[in-house]
Amino acid sequence: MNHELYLEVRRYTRLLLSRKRVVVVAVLLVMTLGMAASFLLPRKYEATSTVFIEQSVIGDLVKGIAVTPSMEAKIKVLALAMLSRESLSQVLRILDKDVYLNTDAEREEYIAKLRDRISIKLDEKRGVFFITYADWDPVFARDLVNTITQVYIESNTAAKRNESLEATRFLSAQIESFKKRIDAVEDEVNRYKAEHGMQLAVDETIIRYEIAESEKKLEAIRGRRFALETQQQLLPSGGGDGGNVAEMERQLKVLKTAYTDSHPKVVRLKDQIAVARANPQRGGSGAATQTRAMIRAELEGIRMQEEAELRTIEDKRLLLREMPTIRTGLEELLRKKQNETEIYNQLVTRYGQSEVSKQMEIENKSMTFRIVDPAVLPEIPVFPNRPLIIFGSLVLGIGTGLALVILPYMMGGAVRSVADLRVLNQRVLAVLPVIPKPEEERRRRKADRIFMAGALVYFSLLLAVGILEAMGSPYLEQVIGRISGWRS
Amino acid sequence: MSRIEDALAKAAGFQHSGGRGGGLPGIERRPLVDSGSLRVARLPEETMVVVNAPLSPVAEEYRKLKEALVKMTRRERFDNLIAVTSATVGEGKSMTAINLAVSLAGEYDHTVLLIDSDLRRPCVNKYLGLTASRGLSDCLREGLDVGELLVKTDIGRLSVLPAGTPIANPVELFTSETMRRLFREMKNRYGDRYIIIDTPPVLPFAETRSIAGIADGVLLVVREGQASLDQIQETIEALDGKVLGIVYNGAQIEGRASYYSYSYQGQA
Repeated sequence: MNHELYLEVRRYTRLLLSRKRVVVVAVLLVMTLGMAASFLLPRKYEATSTVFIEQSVIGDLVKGIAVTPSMEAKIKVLALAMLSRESLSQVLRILDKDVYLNTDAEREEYIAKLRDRISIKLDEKRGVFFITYADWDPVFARDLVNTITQVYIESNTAAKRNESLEATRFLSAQIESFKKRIDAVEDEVNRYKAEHGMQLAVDETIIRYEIAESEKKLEAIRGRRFALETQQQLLPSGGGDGGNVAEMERQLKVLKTAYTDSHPKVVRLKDQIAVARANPQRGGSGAATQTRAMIRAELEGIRMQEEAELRTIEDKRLLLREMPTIRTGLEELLRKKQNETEIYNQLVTRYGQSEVSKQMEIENKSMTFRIVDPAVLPEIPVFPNRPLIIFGSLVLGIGTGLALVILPYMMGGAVRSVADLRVLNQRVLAVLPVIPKPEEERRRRKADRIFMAGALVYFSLLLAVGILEAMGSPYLEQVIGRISGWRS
Repeated sequence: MSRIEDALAKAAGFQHSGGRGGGLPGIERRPLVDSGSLRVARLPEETMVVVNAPLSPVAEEYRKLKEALVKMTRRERFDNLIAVTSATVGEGKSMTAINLAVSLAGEYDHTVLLIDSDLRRPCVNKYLGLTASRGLSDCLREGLDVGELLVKTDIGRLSVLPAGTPIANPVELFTSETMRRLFREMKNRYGDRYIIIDTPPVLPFAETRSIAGIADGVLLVVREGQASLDQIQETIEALDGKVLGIVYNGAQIEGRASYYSYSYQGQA
């Protein structure tokens, strides 16, 4: 331990020992006053009623399906209802207390005070709550607690709560509205599908395949056209027949390089060659003219085919381009429908819960609370708490004694060591220790012993009273009662 | 023979005659022992350690105080009029004054006159076991000669001027010109001796300020745990710079109390 601190502790110990009588007197005085106060203060009696909150079987059954108010919420509502002006006024009427209250202001004030003194506490584990009230008159305390409980339970049975009904009504209206919205979206989807049914039904890959096929066909048509155009150009204006057959055979060779023997072009040219060979007499300008006319007619047909194929390709390409937009539009409509449907479904579920909750509320009305222990006439006062006051005054007395000794010493600023004198700039010529006085010391010790013995006896007496009170012994109460009886 | 010696002789004669014939009425002397030495019987007051336990460390402290005082006062002129006081009541002035006087008187060089000027609570008589009823107040009131009221003790060369007849208001006496004249006369008359004046505390009473005005120096007794620094400072200021030094009294010295106690009791 720090030496300075050690010296300081020793100094205070010495101070306390030298002035122990002050401490002892302070302790005994404060304890005596505390004890006197604990016996003289008016007594307060507390009455308590225990009410059981019945948990309905339905509650467990519908757990998670229906919404039931928590126990705490129930108690809050209950406390508010119990301590309401109406409820308390009714209680006062029943107890005939209202006859003493002449004006509304007096009644209001009395009710406000009453409200502050009534305590409603919940024991959630046991599912009970306690209504407690303390008063100087034990009979009034008991009657008030019992009446207030009774009044509440009666009024609670008769009361109707509409929260659940309101909720059901609200949900029902919402469901109606959402149903209409879902129907509207569904109609819109149907209309859209009808409008773009073809496009939506077609597969994109197939269209691409068909375009490719059409392009191939177009290519073939164009080839044929080129061949016919060439043939037309090669026809002699009035040439011999041999030259014509030769020409056709040459064209056949060319065609065979590109097509098989079964290709229509090849087959047609072979037929022409065969016709030309079979009718050698039909040469001359008449045959050529006939051939040219045939070629022209064929060319005309080919051009028409070509145009048709081009249109087909163009149409399909257009379809291919429009397809994503059409599908996005449909998806948008479907999503909208889905959203509306989800909300609708939730509302329907809640509506179901609400229906059950409503039924539960109605079910709970008459059976929620049951008085387990009605308040009885309190016999032991709750105030003043004598043991607490007595032992508290002991602590207070010790504190007072210490303060009486130490505070003046600390506040007085007395010189406590030679070092304190340094600030005075004076020479310290001698330091004289405390000179013991054995005779005086003996006398003082003897006086101290007598004093302390007396103090101890008195203190033991006070302590015994405190212990008896703490043990709840009625002995002292009886003695005091007897003394008061004698006096009266 | 000087006047003081003459007075002392008269006083001694009165003491030895037990108050009969000659001498001053009202002054009695209870003989201690062995006149001229410190080997006297125990004094009734236990704090008179210089007499009761001359070899104890506390007595040694008083000797140190005496040495310091002698050094301070032996200057070109001899500052022999020393007042002993304190800021508040009960700080050990009288005990210090008597022990210091006894200690000085124990030396062969010093003759000491101890004056009890605390007319409110005189205690020199009690501490030294004297029964003289007349003293300083009688000198001041009746103009009696100091020499006639001196009581010679058997403690070295120590003479005592007791407080005298109790009076209601000593302040008026001490602020009077008579008092100044008396102390000046004593200083001059007993110029070769120490005159130690036991005074009342400074703060509650006014007379010490007057005495300090005449004295050559003041020893301020400070008791541990009693007066505050402010009070001491105020006292020093009230004494007009006459404070020679502080005697720190009642010190709680750890581990030495038993030694003091043992030494003290061993001397008994």
